Amino acid sequence: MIYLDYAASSPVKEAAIKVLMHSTVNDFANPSSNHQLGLDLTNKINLIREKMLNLLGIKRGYRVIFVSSATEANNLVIRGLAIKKGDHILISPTDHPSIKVPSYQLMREGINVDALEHDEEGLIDEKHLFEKTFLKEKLLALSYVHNQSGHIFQIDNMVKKIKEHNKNIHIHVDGVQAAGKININMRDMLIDSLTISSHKMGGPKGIAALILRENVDLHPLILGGGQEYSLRSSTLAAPLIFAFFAAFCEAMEKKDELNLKLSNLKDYIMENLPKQCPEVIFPFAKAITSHHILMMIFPKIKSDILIRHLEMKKIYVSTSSACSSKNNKDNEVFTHLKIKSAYHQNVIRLSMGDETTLEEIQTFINEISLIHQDLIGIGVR
Amino acid sequence: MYKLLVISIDELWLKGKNRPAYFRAIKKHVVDVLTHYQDEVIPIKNEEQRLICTSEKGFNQDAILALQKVPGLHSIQPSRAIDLDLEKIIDEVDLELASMREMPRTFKVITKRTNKRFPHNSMEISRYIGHLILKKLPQYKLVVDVHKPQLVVSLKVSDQHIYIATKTYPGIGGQPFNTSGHLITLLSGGFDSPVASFLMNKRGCRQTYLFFYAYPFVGQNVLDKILKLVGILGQYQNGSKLYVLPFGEFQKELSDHIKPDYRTLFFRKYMLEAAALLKSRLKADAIITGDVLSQVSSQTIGNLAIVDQLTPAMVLRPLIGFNKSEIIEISRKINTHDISTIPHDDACAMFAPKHPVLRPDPEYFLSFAKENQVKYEVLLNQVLDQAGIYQISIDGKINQLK
Repeated sequence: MIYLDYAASSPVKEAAIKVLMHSTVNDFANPSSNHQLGLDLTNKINLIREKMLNLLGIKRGYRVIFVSSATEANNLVIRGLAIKKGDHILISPTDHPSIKVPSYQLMREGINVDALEHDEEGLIDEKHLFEKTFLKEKLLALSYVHNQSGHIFQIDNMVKKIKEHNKNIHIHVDGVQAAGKININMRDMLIDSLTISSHKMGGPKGIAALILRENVDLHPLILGGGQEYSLRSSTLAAPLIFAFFAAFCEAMEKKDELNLKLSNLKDYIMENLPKQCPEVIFPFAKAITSHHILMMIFPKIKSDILIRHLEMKKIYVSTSSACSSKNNKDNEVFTHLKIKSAYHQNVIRLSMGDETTLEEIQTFINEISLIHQDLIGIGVR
Repeated sequence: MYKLLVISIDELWLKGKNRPAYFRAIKKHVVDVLTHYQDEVIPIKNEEQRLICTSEKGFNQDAILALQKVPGLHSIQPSRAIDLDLEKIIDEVDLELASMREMPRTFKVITKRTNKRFPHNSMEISRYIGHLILKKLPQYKLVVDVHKPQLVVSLKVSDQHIYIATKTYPGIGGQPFNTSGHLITLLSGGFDSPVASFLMNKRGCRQTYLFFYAYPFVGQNVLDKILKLVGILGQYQNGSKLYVLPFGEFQKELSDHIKPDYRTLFFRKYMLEAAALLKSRLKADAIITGDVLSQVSSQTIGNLAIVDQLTPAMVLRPLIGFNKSEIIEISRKINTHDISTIPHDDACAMFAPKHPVLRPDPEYFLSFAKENQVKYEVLLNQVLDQAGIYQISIDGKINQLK
């Protein structure tokens, strides 16, 4: 099997599995219990909160809220902020559904949802961004690294400029594809909340975190026993938290080494795939995208046909094209990333991680080129 | 809940000497449906041209809806039974009216009398009971309307009982299941083939469904559609099967060897040939397709004719003279419409040339088929060996066997 869909979910790291197994057996107590077992777990979790903030470059001023998924974290911010009828919020049409869908819900409740614009390279149009945010927006949601194209958006500079003019705006960043991959130094970034997810960095599923500025008030989505500063009632999943942390630590430790490897692999694909398959297009420059994600377009063959042929060879990549040739609607994300509408059904996303090898990449290049050639040969449309 | 169902049989009057066999077939199907939905033993009595079913628990709505899909039934009436005494009818009608959620304003009485020794004829009974309803049940404020009544009080006078019903559920009619042969039904996921299959249900055919699954050219979503469709169509059968043939590699292989503008035509030819092979394996009788004359380019009379020349089986095309709007209307009625509209990839369209051949050159077509007969028969048999097989139960539940 060759797994090239790390951006969807990563294989669980051995360190995380070990922690998870050990902790599931031993840490069965409820961290909210008043006896020593519970107190010990609470202390351990609180220590982890601190260490996680450190990994993100934070000394003080933020809290870690453990939630079940990045989707929940994004919802908690968007649905939980005190945004009133008539207020404006700004999101990107290229955002993940966990940001877009709750925003559309706000829209139905009378809140104005404005759209960020992207330039020809797919990057955020800063002029437009500043025009909007300097004035009236109550919330700006941004992705740090785009989940499909891999774009790294220059959050840091943008946020600083915005905050100079509009101190009251809440800036939420979806860091799911960024955490553990690129350096996030939140200390002087001025962002108000950040979402990170365990299973994208080799931890187990079912656990994620919202890093939230201390003075921000949110309405909880889940009411109950008052855990997580009353923002997220539920028994804390101690084993998942410990395993998440183990994966996060390892990812941060090996980040530079991994990036170097992935950068080389990306170079290798961009150099060698066109030799065997000259039709391939890489729509976005390597310099503006994260090393772990590579978007590619095969203009002549629909991506879903390609991925099923690859899947027969046990090679797994991703596509977000519509499932049917009869469903000819443009893909909203691709439109705003400035991918030509004619190519919307021809996009493949390859995403790599720590277990990806050069050999695997070579096999991928060979197989996809053969499949592509074959399909063109018989004239499949 | 009603403890009695009176089921009228359709087309029974057409039958002569084979009436008992016909009756047995329909009774078996009714028994199987009721056993499944009622979870109890249901005694069924033949009375003239009717089946009288009785339930201790009372018949549930699901059972009645399922009976509406049993081929050969004319109608199903949840009924009350009384002795042969006209004076007792009025109390039962009172009970019926009292239990109605929406009160009708107009009514009519219709009587059918199979008991010819009963002293009054149908007209007399209807008139008398109509009169009684007006006189004895004035609280319902009903008036008679013989043309468009909101309520029909149906009376059936048999040798021992009078059956009273105010609700009639129409059946699909036609011939009983498994009395008109076993057919291989080609399904595609569009509108036509499920409707063609439905029509042949009415003619009493047992069906085995066949789907050509062109993975990896098409994805799982197409198969999901087919499973949903057979889940609906299978409810008209008393247990049926679906064969899913892996056809992508075969189509690719074939495409490599034929003129591109003949692709759709050859796909059609070999699909029918695969169906004919399955027909032989299952000892079935014929094939059903959803073909409509001239609907698409592969359905021109020339294309249909030349493919039929080479198909070693009878091909039934119940929709051949239908218009699309007529087909869609039926698909709505049988609830396949909303499944058929789900978009799906069509491998034939994927391989299709921009301009498929409309008037095929018989020499090329026939000689290619002849020269490659052995090769493709072997391949098709291999494809059949690899088929996925699904069992569809009487209530449309699907279970993969292989």
